[in-house]
Amino acid sequence: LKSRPLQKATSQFEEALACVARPTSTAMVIKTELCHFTEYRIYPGRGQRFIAKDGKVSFFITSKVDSLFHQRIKAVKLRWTQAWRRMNKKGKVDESAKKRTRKAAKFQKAIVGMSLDDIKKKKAMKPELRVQAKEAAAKEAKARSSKVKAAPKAKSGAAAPKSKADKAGQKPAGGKKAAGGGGKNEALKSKR
Amino acid sequence: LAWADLSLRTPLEASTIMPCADNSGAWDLKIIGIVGKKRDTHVDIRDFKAGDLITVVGRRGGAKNRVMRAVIIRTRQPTRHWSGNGFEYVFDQNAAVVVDQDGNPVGSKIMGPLD
Repeated sequence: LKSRPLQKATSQFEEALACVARPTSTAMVIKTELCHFTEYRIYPGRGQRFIAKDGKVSFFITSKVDSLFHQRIKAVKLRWTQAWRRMNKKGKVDESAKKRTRKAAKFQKAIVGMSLDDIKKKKAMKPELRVQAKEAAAKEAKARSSKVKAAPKAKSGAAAPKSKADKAGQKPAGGKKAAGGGGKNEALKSKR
Repeated sequence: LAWADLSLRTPLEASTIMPCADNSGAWDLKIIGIVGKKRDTHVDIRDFKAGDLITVVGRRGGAKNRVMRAVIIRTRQPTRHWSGNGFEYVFDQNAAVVVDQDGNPVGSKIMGPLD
């Protein structure tokens, strides 16, 4: 840079000047190009630019790459190029492309016997209170069941033989029905 | 080596045929010599840069066998980048544009990228 005359306003020189003007940066910024085939960085003095008939400019880092381009070999097909790597998903994993798992929205439904508000109230209640309420409810239930058991013991004795008789009556009827149904089914099957 | 002896080679045989990049009527141009130099100077496309004035003979098209002047636009020879960065650039083909004795272009359109 020092050897270059000050009058020449080359881009590199201007960039360097800009860097010098900034108090923080001292390193020289060199404009590098990206190879159109391999996507490697081309520093000045290396590689070549090819300008096609239609005006398209392509940068090549080496004559090897230049030759491949003119043979019309695609970069995607060559294993060592960045294009191939991108196609085959090698290297860095793009986190933003990951699928987000969908969470099903859970919401409390009212149950038969308890409305939504009741459920919420119970949830809001302190655990100690809930335990107490549970115990109280259990005691109540026990008391009720004992009363129920004590009172209609005689009733249950009378009810039992009745239920047995009913059952006996039901069975032959069910059997008849079954036989008739079976016969019908057999007939259908023979037709098929 | 025969090729090293430049006196044996006539400028016409060693010259290049390149397409004309304008609509002046000439299609292919064959380099004869360089304007301002001796008649028998050896001519080689590798010695030329864009912007050189050359004498040329039309090979095809309306200007066949007519000696004219031309300005080179593109060369296949690698040339250093104008920014001085150290980059080189190369064109796909050699091309020139026909020019009259004063240096004004004969055609009205220039096809393709310029150097």
